[in-house]
Amino acid sequence: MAEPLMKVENLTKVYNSDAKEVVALKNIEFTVQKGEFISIVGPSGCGKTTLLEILSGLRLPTTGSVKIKGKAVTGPQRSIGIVFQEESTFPWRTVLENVEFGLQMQGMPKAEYRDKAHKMVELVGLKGFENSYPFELSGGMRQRVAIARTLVTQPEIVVMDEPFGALDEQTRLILGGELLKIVEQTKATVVLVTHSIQEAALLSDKIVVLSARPGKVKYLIKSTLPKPRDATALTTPEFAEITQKLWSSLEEESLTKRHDVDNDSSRVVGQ
Amino acid sequence: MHRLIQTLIVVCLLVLYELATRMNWLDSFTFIPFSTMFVNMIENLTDPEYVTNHFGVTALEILASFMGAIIFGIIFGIILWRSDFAHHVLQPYLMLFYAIPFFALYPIFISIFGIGPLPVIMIGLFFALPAVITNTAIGFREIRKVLVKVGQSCNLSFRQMIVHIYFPAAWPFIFTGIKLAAAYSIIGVIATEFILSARGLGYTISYAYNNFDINGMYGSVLLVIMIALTVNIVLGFIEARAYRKNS
Ligand SMILES: Nc1ncnc2c1ncn2[C@@H]1O[C@H](COP(=O)(O)OP(=O)(O)O)[C@@H](O)[C@H]1O
Ligand SMILES: [Mg+2]
Repeated sequence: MAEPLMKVENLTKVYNSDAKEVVALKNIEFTVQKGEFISIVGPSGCGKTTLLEILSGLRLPTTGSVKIKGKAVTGPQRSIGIVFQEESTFPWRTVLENVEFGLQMQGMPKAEYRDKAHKMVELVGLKGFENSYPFELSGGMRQRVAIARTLVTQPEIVVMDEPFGALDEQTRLILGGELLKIVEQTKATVVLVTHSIQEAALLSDKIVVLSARPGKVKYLIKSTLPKPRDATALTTPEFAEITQKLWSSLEEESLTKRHDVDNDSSRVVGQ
Repeated sequence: MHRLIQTLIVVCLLVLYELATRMNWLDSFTFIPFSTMFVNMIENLTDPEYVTNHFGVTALEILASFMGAIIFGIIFGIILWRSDFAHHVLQPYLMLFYAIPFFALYPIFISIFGIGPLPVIMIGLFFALPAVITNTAIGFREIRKVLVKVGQSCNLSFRQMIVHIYFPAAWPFIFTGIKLAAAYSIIGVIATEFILSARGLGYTISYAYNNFDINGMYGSVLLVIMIALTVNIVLGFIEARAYRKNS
């Protein structure tokens, strides 16, 4: 097998808040090959957001490392782009200006970034909304803007934190299908966090199942669904098999951790 | 519709007032008809000496103290946001600032800045400054964390973070400070001219009052109100555009 694009080794993250230690992640290990689509699923509060922020260099791990092409990630860099879980569009910029942001900050000439942003806006299906402000758009459209803003800088790896988390299952799967097409066109490698089993099963080449906190890699499930995929894949036996596997692994997780639920409930809100 | 009724209320009140003064319902030594005020204001404005020595001086003093308050207010606001030390030390004083009778300090300003426009500008500036400082610091502090993370993930420099993330995100707060600063600098300048100036609209008001020139006094009062209204309309216009984006 070729050298992986990204290698996560023995990653542990401990938060120290008010003299209380929270072990958010423990001994996380997995690799990402170029062009792969990887999903990370796990119960709420198990450290998924923490993991993505470490992958993108926004946080440092307590121990372990993230390497891209053999080089350790020590801070944010152009080769990794991130799409956040929360609403993150800039309300003071139009759709087009939002998408231009990263390229503009890199110092690219205006004519060039404007052109690229126009193409990206079209690719995410927002043609005609270039001059709208985020407050004029629906939640799903705003999330497309955030995705376009990250993809336009052409990072080698895109990490996405429940980008469709606030949307209903149907819209989520439709947008997921569109995302696959976009990713194929931009040839990006994707690490996607989701709490939707169907979404993970439909989109991924590989699914990382994390345990409840502290997050550990519980299962690595490889998808056998043929590519390219679209909504028709939802009815295939392979799809049923993967979702079945995911369901049972997550069910085990919630059963073994049932005594923990009380502790969790206060934190789940707003996470 | 609302606009129409609002305008109508003002017009009705003015007509009523005009009638009350014309029919001598009100004491004519204290109240003069609005039309007379207006004529006086226009007469004043056609007098070149009045325009350069009083209207012009006041307008420039207000502009200088307002601009100074905005610029220094934003700079100190950013320092206050960056430095926890400055925040903890200065916050109580800023909170108390508008509780103390600032104008009682005017002799200090005279002894530091002498006489002429400088102490007037400085009092207007100092009076308006805390509003901009506090609102800037709050705006920077209240920014949504995820917007900062977007900036960090793009590897922005400190300057880029301020200009492209913090400043536009905090703009609604900063603008609240700017609106307050406009009001405070107008109050500061006019009030200071009452007591320590031989030029400016504040001076013409107190001079006319002391010399029983009621018509001249109201002419200048109306002009001050007009200045305040104009500034507010301009700021409201700017805000409406910014609000559209930031809502
Ligand atoms: N900045 C922080 N400081 C302290 N604890 C944190 C911080 N961020 C997250 N945590 C804790 O770490 C755990 C994992 O959080 P998170 O990564 O957001 O989980 P998820 O995204 O899977 O819901 C949670 O218990 C959370 O309370
Ligand atoms: Mg999360």
